[in-house]
Amino acid sequence: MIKLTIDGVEAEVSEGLSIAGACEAAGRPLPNVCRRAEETLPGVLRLSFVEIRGRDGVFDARTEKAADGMEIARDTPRLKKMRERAVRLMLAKHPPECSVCEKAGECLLQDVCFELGLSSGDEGVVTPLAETEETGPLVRMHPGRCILCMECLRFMRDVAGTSELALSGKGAETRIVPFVSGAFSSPLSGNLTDICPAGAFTDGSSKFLTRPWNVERKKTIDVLDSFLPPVFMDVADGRIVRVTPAPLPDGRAGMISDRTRFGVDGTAFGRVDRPYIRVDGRFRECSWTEALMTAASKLKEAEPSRTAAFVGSTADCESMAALADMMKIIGSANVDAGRFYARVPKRAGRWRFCNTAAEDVAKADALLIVGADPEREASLMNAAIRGNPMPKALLGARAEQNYACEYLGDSSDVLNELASGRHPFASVMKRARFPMLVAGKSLWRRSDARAVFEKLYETCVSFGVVKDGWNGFNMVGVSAGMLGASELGLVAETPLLPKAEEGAYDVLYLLGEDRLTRADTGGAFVIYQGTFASETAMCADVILPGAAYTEKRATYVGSNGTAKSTAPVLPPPGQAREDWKILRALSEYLEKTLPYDDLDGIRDRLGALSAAFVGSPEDGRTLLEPVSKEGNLSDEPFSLSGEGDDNEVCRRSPSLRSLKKIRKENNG
Amino acid sequence: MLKDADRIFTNIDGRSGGSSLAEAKARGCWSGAAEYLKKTPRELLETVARSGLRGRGMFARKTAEKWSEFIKRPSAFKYLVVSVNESEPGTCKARSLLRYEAHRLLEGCLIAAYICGIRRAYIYVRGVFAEEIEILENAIAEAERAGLLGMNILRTGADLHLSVHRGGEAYVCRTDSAMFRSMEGSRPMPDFGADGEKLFGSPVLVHNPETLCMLPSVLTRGADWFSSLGRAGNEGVRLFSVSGDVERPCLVEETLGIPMRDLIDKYAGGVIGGWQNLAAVIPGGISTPCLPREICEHVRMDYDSLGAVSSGLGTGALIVIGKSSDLVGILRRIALFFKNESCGECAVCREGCRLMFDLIDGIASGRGKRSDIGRLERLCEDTENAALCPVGISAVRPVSGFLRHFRTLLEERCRD
Repeated sequence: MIKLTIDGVEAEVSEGLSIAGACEAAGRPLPNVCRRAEETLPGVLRLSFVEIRGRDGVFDARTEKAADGMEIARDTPRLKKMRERAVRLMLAKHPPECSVCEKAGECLLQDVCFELGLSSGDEGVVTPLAETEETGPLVRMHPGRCILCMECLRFMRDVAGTSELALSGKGAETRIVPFVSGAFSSPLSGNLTDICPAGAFTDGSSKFLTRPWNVERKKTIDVLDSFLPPVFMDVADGRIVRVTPAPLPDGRAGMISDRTRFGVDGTAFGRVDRPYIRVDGRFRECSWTEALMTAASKLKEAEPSRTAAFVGSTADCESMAALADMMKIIGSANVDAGRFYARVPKRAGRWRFCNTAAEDVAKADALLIVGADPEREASLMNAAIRGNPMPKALLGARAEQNYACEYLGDSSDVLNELASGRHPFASVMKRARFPMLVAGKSLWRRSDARAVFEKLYETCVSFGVVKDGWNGFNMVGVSAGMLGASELGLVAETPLLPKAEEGAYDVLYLLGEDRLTRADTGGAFVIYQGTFASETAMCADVILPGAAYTEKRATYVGSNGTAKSTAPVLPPPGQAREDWKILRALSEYLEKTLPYDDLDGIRDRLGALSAAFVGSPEDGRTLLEPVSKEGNLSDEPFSLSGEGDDNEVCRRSPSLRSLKKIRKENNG
Repeated sequence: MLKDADRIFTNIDGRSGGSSLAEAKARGCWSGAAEYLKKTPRELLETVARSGLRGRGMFARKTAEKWSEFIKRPSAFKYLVVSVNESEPGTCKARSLLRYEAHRLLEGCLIAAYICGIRRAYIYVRGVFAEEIEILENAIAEAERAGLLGMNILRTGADLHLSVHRGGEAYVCRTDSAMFRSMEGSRPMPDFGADGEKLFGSPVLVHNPETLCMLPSVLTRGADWFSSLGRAGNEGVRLFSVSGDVERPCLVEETLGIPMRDLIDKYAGGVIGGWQNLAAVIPGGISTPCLPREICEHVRMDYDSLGAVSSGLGTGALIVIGKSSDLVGILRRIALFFKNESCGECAVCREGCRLMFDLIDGIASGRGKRSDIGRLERLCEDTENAALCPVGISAVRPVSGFLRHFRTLLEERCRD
């Protein structure tokens, strides 16, 4: 412990602290403006100065160590003046365009100036307005506003792992330059807009739509990223203008993938907002009563075994449960997940989920990737993987990795060799204390999926990927919709779709399913309940408009196996309604009313169906069970081909589509 | 004046032969190595402490103090870096030193490394010294062949591996941490982070080449001989270069504390047009404030005397400016240098240097106003106070010194 005096008050702090740390510890921290600047941008704004009695000049409170007997002054008039002048220098080249800058209102530089009472840089210095760089439609760059804090460089280098930003020139000509054609390639690039303290990176999707002080900020979760990250959605003029990450529990700024940030605009276009029925081959607007009566009469008329229901990518757990209950009441067992990329049965247990907690990834010391593209399928987890310098190897289609990763080929023989320990990388995994295995959703698509998982089980056990106190198995890329259907047991052993195609059903009930075509329906009477005027909706006979995930309180199952609830951010458009309520109403017309009247009722029902919904999911560290012991590994190579977006919202999002197009062009 | 017998740099002008090992040995290099390597590092450290040797670099710290602190730093592996990043206009000593006295430098490296327990050293030389780098590399190879560097030097068990690191052309590398980043392959920028002051993660001792060249003589001729040269607190000799408006620009070795006028008159043949034609002298490279004739008359060339007149010894490179030269133009050129050489990391130096240049440029070209001089003064104060590294402070000092002595010259140039 050392003794020092801060502004005339004696304090005792532990040794080895910086002056700033000592002031903090003594309960007499530096002025707010310094702390705010230092928290976000240590050392850049050069504000944290203190005076030390008996020593000339001023000292940087961050770098100068506190010593015994120091007498520190935190906020003398001289220091105030100096801070003001330091910020003035920073403003010297910063264009005075707050009135048209998108960052205004949440800009660190602006806040600092406000606290110091500054409105402009050095008098008489004319600064040009900011030009923009060609960095794509979503992350816009205005180098003129840059204050060279270099946080973006650090982020791109250390977290995103691409070298698309660099520093060029020196002296007064120093600037950040992007090496980008069209758009940043990293799926985390949107975070630049949060990191930048001065408006050099702004969110292109919310450009000119609103100002930060005009929005209503609502906290919810995003379901486009299957990790269900908590986000803030900013609403202005009846639309969601921006999505930003909610801060982490420890107060640090969060991070979200571009999918989460920009994909939400998919819910704004091409919606069905009122019920329709098909009359003489054409759609006619109708009332809810008429639509529900038509649907109910068809369901009643049909032989129960000749009715079937399919759930799709945008369906939430409440409505899926209600649909399953309704089908059971009318006597049909034909409920299945629709056209997903990965069909994941409930009995796959923890094989469906990411079992390694985000903070545990740093602990891992060897990694095997099988048939996955972590950068696209689990961007945030990939950032954590990247930050861990463990040996890594990839088996499967060669996806571009932003870290050193040994490529083991795409042959299924390699998996055999790994499982039997003959492969050189097997010894690396065996030596590791916390080995990790990341598998991709593409494995579920294989005809020999069961055999593959049998092999993976062998591998996991022999490598110690799964053992007491550690579960290093992670399945990435399976969408939240699929995980929900799986958790509710709606994924049938043998897919029902081929039967529907053959005409085995007279009535099809589609919930949130937008990927079926007329050929798939086999001429059945189609009831479509969902959000989009998609191709599937166009071949329906009755359209029941549902609410999107931003418009209802609904439950989704995340990649780690826990269920989370969204919060309504907008009202549903037009006459669209929450999905479980539509099914509840329909059951009344079927004269077989479902036994729940409110959200609590349906959630109780969910809880009865699976423990995951009552907030006590199975322990993430429980041992995996082998999936099955049938079938042999085929020699089909591991591939990512045929992969695409499960989620209809993402597929329809104009932002993500333009991003995809640009990235595709860049890749030739 | 320094007696020839007391000179350390016997060949700084290259007149006494080449830089080969044989020729260097003939001049006395490496002669005492076998002797002093038998002593313990502690004994040698004491000798250096008694000699009162001060670093010839920016901070002029007592070398022995610096070493005893460094020796205490806990690490199994330590580096020595000799910073030969001489790039300040007017300073041209390291070049001759590498060219003609390479072996003296290598011997100095060996002594510093031996005392501080270092086994790996780099000489960081700016890349444009291509010829000098070649000479230096040849000298290292020769010394290794002769068993004076490498493993088990002169069978005393001491090891030192030395190599030359070519630098880019960044003035900011005079800041140690920026130089380390440059050596590690990054963009040179001062780094005050947790590991900022480490090279490849290990503690590192940085020295000016001139300091190291003093060491062999200090050890062979004794501390008392060294401290008898110069004045108390400013012991020893130093290389001075004199350039600008003098009859014979030169590079000489002299005791610290020699009167500036002696240096100019006796070695450089006097100011062109006589002493009366002198306008100002920049005493130690352009980062030291210039001094008007009245001060130059009496001032002595040592750390304390020059500090007392608010200037500094700096690199010991005098730039003599005659009355025929355009002082404001020179100031403008100095400001331009710092504007271009600011690394760009901290806004204070980056923008401060730019604004200072803009103001001086405006005044020099007759566009300026009197109020600009006030702004210039304020800028100097701000930049000096808040800059992150010594480069920002260096940039300010010549300007504030100029304002102190030659404000009227600027006022004359103003529009109003």
